[in-house]
Amino acid sequence: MRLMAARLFRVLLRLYPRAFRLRYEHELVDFFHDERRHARFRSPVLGPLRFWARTLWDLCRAALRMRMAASPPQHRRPSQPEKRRIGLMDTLWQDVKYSLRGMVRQPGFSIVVVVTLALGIGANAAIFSVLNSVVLRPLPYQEPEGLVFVWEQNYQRDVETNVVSPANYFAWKEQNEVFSEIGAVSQMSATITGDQGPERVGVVYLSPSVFTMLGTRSQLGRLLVADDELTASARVVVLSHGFWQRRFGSDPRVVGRTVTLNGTATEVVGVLPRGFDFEVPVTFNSTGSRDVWIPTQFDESGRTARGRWLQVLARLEPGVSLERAQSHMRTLASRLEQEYQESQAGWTVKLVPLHTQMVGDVRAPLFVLLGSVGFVLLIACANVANLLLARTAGRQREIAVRSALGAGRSRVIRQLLTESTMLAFAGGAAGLVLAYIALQTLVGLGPQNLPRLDEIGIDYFVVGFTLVISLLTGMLFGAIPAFRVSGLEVKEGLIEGGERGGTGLRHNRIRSGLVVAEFALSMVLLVGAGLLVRSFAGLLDVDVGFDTANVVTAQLGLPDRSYPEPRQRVRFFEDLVDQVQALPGVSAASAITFMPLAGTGSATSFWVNDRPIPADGERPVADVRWVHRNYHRALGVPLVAGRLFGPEHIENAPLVVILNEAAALEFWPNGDAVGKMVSMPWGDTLVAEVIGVVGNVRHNGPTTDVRAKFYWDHRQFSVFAQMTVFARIADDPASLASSIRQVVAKLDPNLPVYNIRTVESYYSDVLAQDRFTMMLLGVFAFVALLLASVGIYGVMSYSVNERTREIGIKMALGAKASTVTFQILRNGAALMGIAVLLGTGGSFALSRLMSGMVFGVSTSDPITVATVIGILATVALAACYLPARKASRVDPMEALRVEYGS
Amino acid sequence: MGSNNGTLPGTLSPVVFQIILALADSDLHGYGIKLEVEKRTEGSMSLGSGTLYEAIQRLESAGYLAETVSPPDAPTGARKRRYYRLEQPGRAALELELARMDKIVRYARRKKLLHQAR
Repeated sequence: MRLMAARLFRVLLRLYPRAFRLRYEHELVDFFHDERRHARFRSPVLGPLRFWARTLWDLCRAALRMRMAASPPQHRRPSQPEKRRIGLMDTLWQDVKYSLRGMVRQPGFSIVVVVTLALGIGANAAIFSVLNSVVLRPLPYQEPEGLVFVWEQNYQRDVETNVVSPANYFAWKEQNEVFSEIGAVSQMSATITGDQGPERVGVVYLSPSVFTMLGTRSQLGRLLVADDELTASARVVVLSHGFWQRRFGSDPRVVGRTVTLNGTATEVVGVLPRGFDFEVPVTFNSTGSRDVWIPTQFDESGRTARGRWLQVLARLEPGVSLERAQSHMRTLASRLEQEYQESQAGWTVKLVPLHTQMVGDVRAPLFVLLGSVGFVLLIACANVANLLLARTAGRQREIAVRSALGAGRSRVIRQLLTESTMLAFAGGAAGLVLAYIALQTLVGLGPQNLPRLDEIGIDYFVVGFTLVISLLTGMLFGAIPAFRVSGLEVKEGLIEGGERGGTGLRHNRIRSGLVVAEFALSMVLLVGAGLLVRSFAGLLDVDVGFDTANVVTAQLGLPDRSYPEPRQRVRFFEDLVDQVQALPGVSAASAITFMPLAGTGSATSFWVNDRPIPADGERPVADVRWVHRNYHRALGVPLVAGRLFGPEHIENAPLVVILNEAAALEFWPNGDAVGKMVSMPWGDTLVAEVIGVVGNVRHNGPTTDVRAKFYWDHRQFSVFAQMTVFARIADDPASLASSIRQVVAKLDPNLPVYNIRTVESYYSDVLAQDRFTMMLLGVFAFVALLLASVGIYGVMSYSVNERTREIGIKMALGAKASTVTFQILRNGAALMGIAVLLGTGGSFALSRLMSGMVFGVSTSDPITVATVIGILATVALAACYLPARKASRVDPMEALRVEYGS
Repeated sequence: MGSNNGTLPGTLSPVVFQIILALADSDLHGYGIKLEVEKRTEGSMSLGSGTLYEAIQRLESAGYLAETVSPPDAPTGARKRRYYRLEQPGRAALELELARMDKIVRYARRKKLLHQAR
């Protein structure tokens, strides 16, 4: 954050003349840090705000003075053609100085305008920073635009992108003609043991070519080379910079040292540079970090077509388009499909550019957010234009005097536009500071799975963007009053009392139009926010299939070296669950290979016995999980039919399987699944009897569909050496974490426990992005509503003030106070009515954009629209009520005296 | 604002006067000057970085101030900071200014406009 502040300050230094900046830049930055530290020390909250305000003010003033001193126009003797140009610059400075003086003279007005604009511009700068860092800025790799992910795609089962089998990867690698390089990558976790104790670390298995494609260089030692992939080669590993710092204390002699990974001695050959990372899209039982990078090594049996687990990165050959590569790979895939019916039926290839892969999911929400802050800015502009209109109405005399003294129409317009632009720039500067503060909060609150979260910051591009929107903003809200006022007759402005007589209806029509626009825009935003709120509430209402409260989970992976036999692994997990179950406060404990809501899973094809066996590729697929027999009871997944696993389902007993309801209904719609036999081609074909049906669990969160799922008792056969153990407890989850660690340490001191988390924290991660978008849009809609209600209040009270005399006469002639109040409210209601009509149209257009972002709510949801109209009407009437009440209290005598008294 | 052609004739602007005064008895770096001025004026003059270095630039080009090596007791940071020393012309200008002020003060006392110093 310190760095970001300094970067922002350095950018602002560009306002100074170049020579000055070059000479004093370091000193100015030092000064800046000192002062910032002091300010924060004095008051942690207000200090930084006051500090930024002072720094900006001082910087702008000093820079302006220096630039003006640098080219004093009166000291030159211009030749004739130059004269005109300098004249322009000269009047520009005049206008700037005059505007500054005006701003200082009316501090209240200036502050209101600048704060309003700062809200609008700041929100835009903040969201644009996020968009810029996440979507627009190129990825930090060498020529990233040529990189693509190559996925398998199953057109029969509608699976868009699927991990790749080793056999296919090698076939692609050998037969493709469109990639200059191709490599495989996969992320898992492993246990590192040694002097510092056991630790579970994130492992990336990758082809050495992946580093080449990304353009990565080592900081220490070397990265991987092609020979490292040979199975005969010694095992080597490259460390991430962070892991090297953490585990090895940045020791440069780490290169050449041997570490033990999953029980295998592995030589450290290099360290990656600071800041390098490569997010692998699909991870298996990952720790979340990428600590060690190991070359993939495939022997003959490893190049199998069974089991898909690789992700493939490739660089397009220069001159080959994505479309061409895609169609080439499709052809290649259909050749493979014909050749290897058994494993390839239904499978083809899909290419996804690296950039889309990384940020594809967040593009739409970010653009919707950018659109919504654009609306907020428009509303802010409308408010400021209204304020300026009111003020210029009061300045008609001044302008008339200037016109009378010879100022041309364009000169007057220029002066007024300069004023509004200066205000906009001041708002822009304050907005930038606001954006900086907002970004700190945003990065803190943002979902951890937002890609490139750590890269978010303010850079030149953002500052440039802010400058441009400030300029446009100034033009936009300045243009209306400027052209309005400059069109007035000189005489009209000069007559006594002219400022009251001249404003008239036309003026009000513009102001009313602006208010209508504000409310229509607010309505669109509110409808958008309302839809997200409803959608999110819908998400929270979805039953994920079990009670997520008070469940603590912990992941463990058993190294092959210490637990070579499946029986040993089963023994370990059985003991572990028993001991966790015995811990104080634990009401139930169990284990499963892939915890619901925690991410990945495993799936396989199967068929139902006593029915014709479908051809390869047409077999149904089900998720498979291995569980401790107590799983469903412990998690609270209800039994629908049959029975659960019992003590009798041990290793050599006949195989049994439990299905979820989705599977039972899909294959036995008559409800007679229990007792039927299914087969699963896992190594040898396994035949098992269905003994029970349990409720559906939404493994990937509320928005995903429920898929068919098979549960196996891990004692009967188990293929994974890792499981997630969990316990349901009555009270404090934190204390349980350390108890679980102790239990594991007692069973095996060399075994690390990782990802000790509650199910609710996983759940909250799943919902994080939706919650984030909803919160932001909600805040923007609220700001919009606030600005719009200030706007309608301003217009109404202005018109009451203007019509004091008219109201006075009416009341003198016998109009009742309630009639007057009603009339003002009716005016407000009429404006609202038009706004609602426009806003409804606008919200339909917006909701079409949002169709991918909402869940379980129609994007033209009438309840949301009706609620929003209700809110708007209430707020608008409340804003009109004060001026209306004021009008009803007009004393007729007073009103008439004001008019004729002077 | 005083004159900007580098010779600073006549009276010194308040900012320039305070900067020179701060440097009269010790060499300071920019932020040090700011703190000293703040202390001396009891907080009524708080210099921003732009205002300060704008003045320093003018004083430097007028030969009133010169950059100097940091004193041995200066804290050693990541990077050496520029310290400033008051040069002879600056000292002369300060004395001139103080004498002028002194004259005014004495005159004011004689006129009973100012009470004896506390």
